[in-house]
Amino acid sequence: MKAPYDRLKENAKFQIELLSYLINDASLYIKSIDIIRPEMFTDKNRLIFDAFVCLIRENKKPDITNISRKANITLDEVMEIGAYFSGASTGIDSLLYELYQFMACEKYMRLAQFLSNQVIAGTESEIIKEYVVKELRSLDFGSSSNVVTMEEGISRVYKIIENNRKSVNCTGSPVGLSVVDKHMGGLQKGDLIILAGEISHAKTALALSMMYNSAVLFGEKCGIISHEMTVEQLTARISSLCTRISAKHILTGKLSDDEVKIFGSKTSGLIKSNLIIQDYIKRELSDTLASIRLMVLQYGIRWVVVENAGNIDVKGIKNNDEARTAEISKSLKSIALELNITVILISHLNRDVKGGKQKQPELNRLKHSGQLEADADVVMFIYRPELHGYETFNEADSDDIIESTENRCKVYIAKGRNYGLVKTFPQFDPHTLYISDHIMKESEIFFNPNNNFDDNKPF
Amino acid sequence: MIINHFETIINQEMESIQLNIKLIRANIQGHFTLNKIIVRDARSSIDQSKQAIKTLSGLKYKYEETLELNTK
Repeated sequence: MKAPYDRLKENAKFQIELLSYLINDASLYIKSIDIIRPEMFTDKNRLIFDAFVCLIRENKKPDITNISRKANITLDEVMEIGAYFSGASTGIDSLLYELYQFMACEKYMRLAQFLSNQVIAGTESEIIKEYVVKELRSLDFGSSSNVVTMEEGISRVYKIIENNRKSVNCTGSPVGLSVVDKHMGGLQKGDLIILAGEISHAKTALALSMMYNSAVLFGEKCGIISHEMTVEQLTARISSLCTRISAKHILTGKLSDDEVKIFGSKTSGLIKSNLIIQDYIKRELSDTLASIRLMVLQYGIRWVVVENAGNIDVKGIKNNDEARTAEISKSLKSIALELNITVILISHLNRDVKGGKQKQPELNRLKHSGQLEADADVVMFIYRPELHGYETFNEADSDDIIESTENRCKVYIAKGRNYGLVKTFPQFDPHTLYISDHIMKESEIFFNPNNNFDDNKPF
Repeated sequence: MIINHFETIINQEMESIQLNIKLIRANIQGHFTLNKIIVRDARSSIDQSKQAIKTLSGLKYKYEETLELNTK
């Protein structure tokens, strides 16, 4: 006779199978971090899951030996779970769906019990309502489902105002570039910034210069995900900014003894900095998002550079670049809002079809634009007129300054939600590819002790 | 370096266990029929892999401890 269906037993099977998936491929956890909840697991499985999450947060490998040690469970038991295969599921998605359904059912039943108990006890309806709404909201995916009243909104704005008053100029993350530091008050949380420019117009150089200034000179935490360059190439380019030895020479030339000494002594600041580089990952949007989550989870980065939009694939969208780019920009904007960080997306431009000397790029030249332009808070262009044969900036654009274009570039904001439009003309060092025009002094950025504001009393 | 090697071998042993379990399960559930000798081999291979993982993780633990002591 066929055994009757046992919900609890079936759920336990799913739990073990999900754990088995996670133990064998830890990246699955980061990919489905929105859906996986600790409440999905019970008893021993919960202990194992907690140990697994703890190890990821500590940047340790969550393999069976480490988990067994962390959770205080015998190796045999963890091994049993790691090698479990019920054959009931087709993949992690169906498992998550089943476990989520079970967790939601349990929650509904508990709420029904709670309601009947509270009604009998005569508790005030407002208190019951508050609890029920809170419990139901916890079932939503992501953390962005809260509703905020105007009172709460104004109090949050007050907090920003008070914090801004403490710092003199820069309220976000400083990057050593006047267009960002002075005009935007640094990189602000929740913003998606598109950094675009023509090929070999120093897009990556600008991003790396900003990262170097931010991490080494101002002590900020930031990261980069490159789908084009290896870790060695990126590190060589960043280290060339402080050693003043060109990245090409570091990677391909023979360094003299003196240069090796300089490299050793000048990179000490870089070693201690909080600049994180993602090693090779698949060119998939889901992998990029998972990597950003991991960087925030493990290193607490404040902003991240993603290079570049054209190289990222999206599952299920093929032969439609516009839809693919739209999906990328939407996902990056939502992750910036969810994790409260700034995301800088490097993007290429479409070819200029007009003949003659090329003019500076405008918004309509953003590759597969439309959604990209709409989602971005800031669209920043970098342009080097000297590469197109212009000797002074006003030759390229009559409104610009009458100064030589040699070793200089133009950085301008073509779309600036909340910031407006602005242009600057920073120096560009062709030897080290360092771009900078404004390094703020420490006193300009950090807390001024003369201002005595109370964080807890904004009103 | 050596710890990474241990981790790689442990992962490979885990994969081997999973593969053998899938094989035995498919046989039990009737997806296909296997010779008794193959099933017995699969079972003993699982046991061997489990033993290997135990030994390797013990060694890995020892190396990690020594490494921690040396760095202190």
